[in-house]
Amino acid sequence: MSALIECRDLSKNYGNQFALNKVSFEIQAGSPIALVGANGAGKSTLLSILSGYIKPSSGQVRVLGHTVGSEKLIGCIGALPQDALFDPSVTIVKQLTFLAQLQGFKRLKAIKEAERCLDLMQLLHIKNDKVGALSHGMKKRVAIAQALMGTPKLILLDEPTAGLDPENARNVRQQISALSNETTFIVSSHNLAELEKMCSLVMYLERGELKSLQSIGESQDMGSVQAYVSEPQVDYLTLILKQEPIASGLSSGFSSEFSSEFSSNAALATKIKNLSSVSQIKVNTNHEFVIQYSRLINPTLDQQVLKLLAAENLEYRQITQGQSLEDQLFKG
Amino acid sequence: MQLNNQKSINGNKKQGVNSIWLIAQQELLKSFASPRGLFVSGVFIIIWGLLLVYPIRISAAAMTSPDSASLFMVVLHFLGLEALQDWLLSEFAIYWVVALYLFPTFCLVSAADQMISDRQRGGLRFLTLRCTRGQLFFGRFVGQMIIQSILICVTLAITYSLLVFNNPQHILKGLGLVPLIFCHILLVTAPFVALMSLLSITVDSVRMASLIAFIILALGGLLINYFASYLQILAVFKYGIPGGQIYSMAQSHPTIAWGALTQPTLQTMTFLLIGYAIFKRQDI
Repeated sequence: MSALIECRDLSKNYGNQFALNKVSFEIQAGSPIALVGANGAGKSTLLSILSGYIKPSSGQVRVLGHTVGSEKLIGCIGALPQDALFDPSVTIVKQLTFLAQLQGFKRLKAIKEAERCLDLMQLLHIKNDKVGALSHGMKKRVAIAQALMGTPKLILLDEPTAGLDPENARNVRQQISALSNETTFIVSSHNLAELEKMCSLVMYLERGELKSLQSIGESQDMGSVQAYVSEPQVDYLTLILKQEPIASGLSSGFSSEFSSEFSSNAALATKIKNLSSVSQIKVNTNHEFVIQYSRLINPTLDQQVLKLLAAENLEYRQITQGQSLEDQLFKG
Repeated sequence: MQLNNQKSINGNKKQGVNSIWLIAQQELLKSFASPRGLFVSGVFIIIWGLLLVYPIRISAAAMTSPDSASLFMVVLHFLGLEALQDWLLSEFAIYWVVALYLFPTFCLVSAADQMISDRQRGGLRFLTLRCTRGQLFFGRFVGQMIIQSILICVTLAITYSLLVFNNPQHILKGLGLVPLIFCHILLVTAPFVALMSLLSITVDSVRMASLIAFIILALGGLLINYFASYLQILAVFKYGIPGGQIYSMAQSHPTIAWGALTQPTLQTMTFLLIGYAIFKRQDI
């Protein structure tokens, strides 16, 4: 079976400036994929190449086994392009119906499909409005609705929740999760917490280069992705305490040169580090402890940490296997 | 297996034709239902209304009236259009000359925005996931040609009504001439629409596209003549400027003007092929 997306040495340059530099990866159909990177890292450029909006300067890209731009891909790819707007003089439902007809739907079915997708975005009530009358967030949701039409095999969403209110951002996330059994999503966003909830794989671009392609939180399980940048075989446990540990209870054996907050956190960190298979521990702000260990050696570390917390009379807010996406991408 | 492949190819062709037709329909909707489209069509209808009520009606009457005919012939001779006096149907004679110049000029404005607004807005990105760039490019050209056809039909119908009102005895003769004039005017207009198709994918503003087209038409011939005076072979580029044959067509009757249509047909094909080649590779 051919990969959903195959990129080989994909480069795009504008003059002397590289937007993408020899990016290579291969992705099979499956759960949503997060595309992250700083501004100008090449996320939108990569999505635009995959959508066929722009041509690569060099390299090869194939989607579903076909060259991007091929007639055979018509209707197979949906996309939310960055900053694309609908015609302000035609009603929303007419524009979406027209797009659905182009995708191969007969007129009546096209109207139903347009309404179905508007309903997914909770916009059915404004179907007869013109785009000019809508807010920025509503325009974006209409654009997401068009991307969902016809249930394409691959949907590329460029910052789908940027500018949306929390309730609608949540709805977008829910729709992505609900549809991810039949469609593979690639979602570009700066909201790492959001991506963590939706996606199981992450592609990290930095200055046009693919720095990593890995499972979120589970660096050993690469799923269906064949990554070209691999992670060492380590596991993580992330613990967030409800409040700062009391220094006095944990200060034994710790130097007095530390401030009370640091020493209390550090004292707990020392105790955790003494547990079996823990190789490293990092204390972040908000009493967050990222514990690096080997699950192969100690599969019940989480339970041991909970016991330690109980013994120290400490309350915790959250304990999760793996590390946050932010820590995963920007560690050190 | 081979049969399945053939079915798939036929299905793709059918879907391709269907997409072109859908895009052309959308172009019609945009032109006659959008505020800009309504404004342009409204202006065009007012101009034609005034032309029909005054110049065409009065000129047609003057051509047939023994009192003013001699003076009118002097004017025609002065304009180099003395061949018009051979037309039996004077309303169509005037329509022929006016339409040969007015329709191409009108489409420099009306057909200028085939792609520009959509490109600026990013709207092409919604379309190219659902149809090929070829279908989009040619679909919009076809849409514009249908718009021109509708306008030619409407103006021809009104002129024919005027003819029948003035000379009921020419009802059948006039009817025979209508499709002939329609085909000629449409083919003369085609390279202008194709030129706007080409400009609409290379220029970033609608006004700029119209302005460039006017400059090409107004100054292109002069510049080519100037350079050709130094290098004779450059004169061949004159064939690339649309409308070069209109003056000679205006001096002849549609029944004998078929030969003059080769040039606009070739020009249309050339502009479209260049435009498609650019659009196919363009970043949108």
